Amino acid sequence: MTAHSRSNRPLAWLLFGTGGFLVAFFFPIHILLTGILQPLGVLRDPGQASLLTLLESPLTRLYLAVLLICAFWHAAYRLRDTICDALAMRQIDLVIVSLCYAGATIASVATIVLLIRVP
Amino acid sequence: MSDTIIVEVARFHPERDAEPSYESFEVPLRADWMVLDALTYIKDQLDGSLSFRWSCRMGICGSCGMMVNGVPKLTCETLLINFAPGPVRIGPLDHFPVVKDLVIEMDEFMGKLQKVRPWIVRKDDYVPKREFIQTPAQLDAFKQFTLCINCMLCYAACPVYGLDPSFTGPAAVALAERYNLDSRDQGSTERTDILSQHDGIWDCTVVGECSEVCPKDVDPSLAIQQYKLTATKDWFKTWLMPWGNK
Amino acid sequence: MPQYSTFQPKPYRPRMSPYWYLDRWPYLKFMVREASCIFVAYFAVVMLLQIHAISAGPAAYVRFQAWMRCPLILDLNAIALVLIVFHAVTWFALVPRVFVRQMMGSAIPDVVAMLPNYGAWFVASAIVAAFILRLI
Repeated sequence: MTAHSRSNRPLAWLLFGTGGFLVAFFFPIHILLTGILQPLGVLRDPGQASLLTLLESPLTRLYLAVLLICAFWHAAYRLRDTICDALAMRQIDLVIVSLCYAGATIASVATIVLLIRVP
Repeated sequence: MSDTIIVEVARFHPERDAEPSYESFEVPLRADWMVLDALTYIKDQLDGSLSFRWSCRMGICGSCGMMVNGVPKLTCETLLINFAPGPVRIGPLDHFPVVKDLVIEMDEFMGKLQKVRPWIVRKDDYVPKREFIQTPAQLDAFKQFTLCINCMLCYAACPVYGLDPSFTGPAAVALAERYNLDSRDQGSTERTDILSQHDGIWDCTVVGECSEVCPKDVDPSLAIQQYKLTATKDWFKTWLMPWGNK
Repeated sequence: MPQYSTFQPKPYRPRMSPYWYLDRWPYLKFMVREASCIFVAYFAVVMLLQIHAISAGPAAYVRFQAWMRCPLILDLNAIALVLIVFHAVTWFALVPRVFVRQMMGSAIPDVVAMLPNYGAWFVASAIVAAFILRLI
């Protein structure tokens, strides 16, 4: 058996693993602040101008790019496994793989475009 | 506490049944009985046609694995009074073809064990004049995975194996890791080709139930995840440095 | 001539129910953990919308803030928080020990591999909070 008959899962799995760590470390605080405490007024929202200054920094944009792209690929890998297992649909695995990873690709491109186009 | 318990046992007669059904037996509830004792009581006193596998009665041969109230267990290690007042339902191990009553067909499992080349592989023709020297730390790296008794409880617990029987499965991968991590072995490349297939290790979605039900604390889930790391490193080496591969 | 197999007649082959994960509590926990990925994708999209709103100007940001105050969105965010924290807890219990085993053999107990992650989680959250609230 040659090396080429081996599965190419490792690459996707590496993204899944990185995404898993990043999501575990960073997503809860983002959701807690941006998604719950700030809209409810419990903590202050610094305002668009101040946040724009933060967003303009290349470091912030790099952080967001890595976090979000890895999160999308983590979700795509896990979603593909979940649909195949939960709905016992292993026969159409190829369709599900294509949809999940296409979605992750589109989302990654959107992330990069949005972050590049910050004024 | 009453002195009997109802035991519902799966019955399947291949020559006349289309699928298994459950038959109830009333069995003495003794404080020191295991579920296996209840089954042997049924076979001795109530219905001699009940078929099930057992051997050592002490949790080391791996023969008596069955589903007890939906959980894979070694019946020789499962106390009957834990299920009082009952009834307790005993069925054949999940995800395996049923030959008769509680006996399952395990040919595929045996094939998988052989497939991973479970022996010390040496690249050279060196014939040792004495045993290979191994430090305690080197032994620690793989000792846990040597404890597997091939009871197949992990396969009964694994939903991935249930959905896709071509999955290599927990015990086989743990066995492969036992040899890969053994300092005396030089065969990890050979095993990688087999395990890096889609249904080798990559089917595993880390449900973790295999390690939960293992009666010997082998932790096959750990073996599979460790192997995923190894396979990933190997994959990158193959694609980035193809000349280095034998 | 009859066709002979190892066992005659053929053994019974059970089919797995498509609702297998409802049969046992550990399976259900597993499915919930896996389903958290839907909310990961959801909130990643919310963050993209936030980035867009910040870039597009004050009016767009005010619209974004109003949208985030919708009860439906707040509910979704609360569910996302619970599920992603569940993901984090199960991740820390399962994944770091594999790296530790790979690198250091079995001398280190699994709990020791897990605990530094919680410390790192706290520190990372504090730093990110400081930035989001513009304290630094």
